[in-house]
Amino acid sequence: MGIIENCESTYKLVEATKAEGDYFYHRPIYSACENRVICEGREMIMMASNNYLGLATHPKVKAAAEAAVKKYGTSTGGSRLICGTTDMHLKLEKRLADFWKTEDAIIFSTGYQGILGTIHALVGKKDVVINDALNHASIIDGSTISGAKMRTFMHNDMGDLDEVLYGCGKYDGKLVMADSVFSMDGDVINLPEMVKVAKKHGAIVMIDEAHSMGVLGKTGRGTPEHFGMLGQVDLITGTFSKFAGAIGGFTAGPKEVIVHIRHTARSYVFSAAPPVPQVAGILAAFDVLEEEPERLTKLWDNTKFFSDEMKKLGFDLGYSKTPCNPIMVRNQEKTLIMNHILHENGIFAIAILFPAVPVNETRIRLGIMATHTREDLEQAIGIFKKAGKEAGII
Amino acid sequence: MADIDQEARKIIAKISQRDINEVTPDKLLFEDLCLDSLKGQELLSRLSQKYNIDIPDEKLAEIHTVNDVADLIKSYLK
Repeated sequence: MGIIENCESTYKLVEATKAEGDYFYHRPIYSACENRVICEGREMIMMASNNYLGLATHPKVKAAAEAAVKKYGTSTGGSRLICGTTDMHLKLEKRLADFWKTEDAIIFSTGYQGILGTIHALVGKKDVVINDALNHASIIDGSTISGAKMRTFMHNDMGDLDEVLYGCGKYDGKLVMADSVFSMDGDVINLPEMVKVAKKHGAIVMIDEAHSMGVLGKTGRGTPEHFGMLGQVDLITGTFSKFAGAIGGFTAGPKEVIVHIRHTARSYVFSAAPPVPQVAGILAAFDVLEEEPERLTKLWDNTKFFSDEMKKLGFDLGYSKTPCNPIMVRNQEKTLIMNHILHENGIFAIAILFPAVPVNETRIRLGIMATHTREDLEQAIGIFKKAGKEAGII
Repeated sequence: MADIDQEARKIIAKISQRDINEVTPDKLLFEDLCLDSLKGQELLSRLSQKYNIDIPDEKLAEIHTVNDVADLIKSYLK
């Protein structure tokens, strides 16, 4: 099949899905991404966002971004190496290193670029990357372009990681990687055991804190804090698109590693710098995280209430232990029907279908937020009950 | 050689997260057992590790069924 013919095939599939009324991607939202949004001329309950703490619209975050626009404008017009580094970029990197108790940190324009650039900078043909089977696509893509040998251990199975590492003795460098909270399932990596097994084999550990930073741990310092391991993980990577309600990625770790990444990660070197208003907003988000711990408490109260009520109704929430909640349907057609009913009844949610997940693992993935009111959640649960029954799931 | 058939099924069952009884010799790896290219590469790595052989990733194009996997290992151990 030629290039254009291949594109036509995708185009036809998308158009056919739209004609069936089952295309729910790229729905335009005409309001801020809060607990309720305006979509298709009506109010909907937002259940698909990872703006867990609701900081994307926090007055202090918005004020910081506005002030930065006034002082710095919208762009630096260059990459970080050339003319894209401001005092604000350096301030955020220092804040990150302090937050994670590491020597240094580097920020990227997006989380995806951060992971891609970091892996690519650290490993090559003589090395091996060992991934959890459910790692995020950015880690898989980063591992692929790095040229390193890629191995996989069974999801969260540290006995299997041990077994895989036994077979990796011939490689120079060994990098073990995992999501801290898995983006499609919401379960938490067994970090203490993973670090222990990796150390036994002389491997470096890197975790992706995308869905756990600002969510897990008493002060939001993710799985390292949750497991009492702050300062004990070799490398921490993540994104600002979840906890901070912004965009951007980072890697935190030893100073030598960060300087190496800063000069060799192609996604860093050849990308324009993150806009200062974004950086200022993220810095303000860190302040809010410290000043308003009640947001974290509310997030977990909401998560517990929603999960408990959904389970009482008979929904299968998989292995989730966090605000990242899948409603397991395990049937492609029923998942589409469910998504359709939810949409019609004012729930903004998204179906995760094959090939993103196996055909028997299709689901509706939800994000619970601190800004959801009890009324939002009760109304949403009522709609889920109706949709679940109509789709034949409960 | 019967051990190889059984071991291949065991490793495929683990990677595809299926019950070993589902992993019968005629099952298609990608269509029936939902392996993807990454899982296929992991399968070859695990076989290489288990039998102390070196199966290149290109061999993935030559295996379609569970039985093909067992035959591939046997060809390396001849």
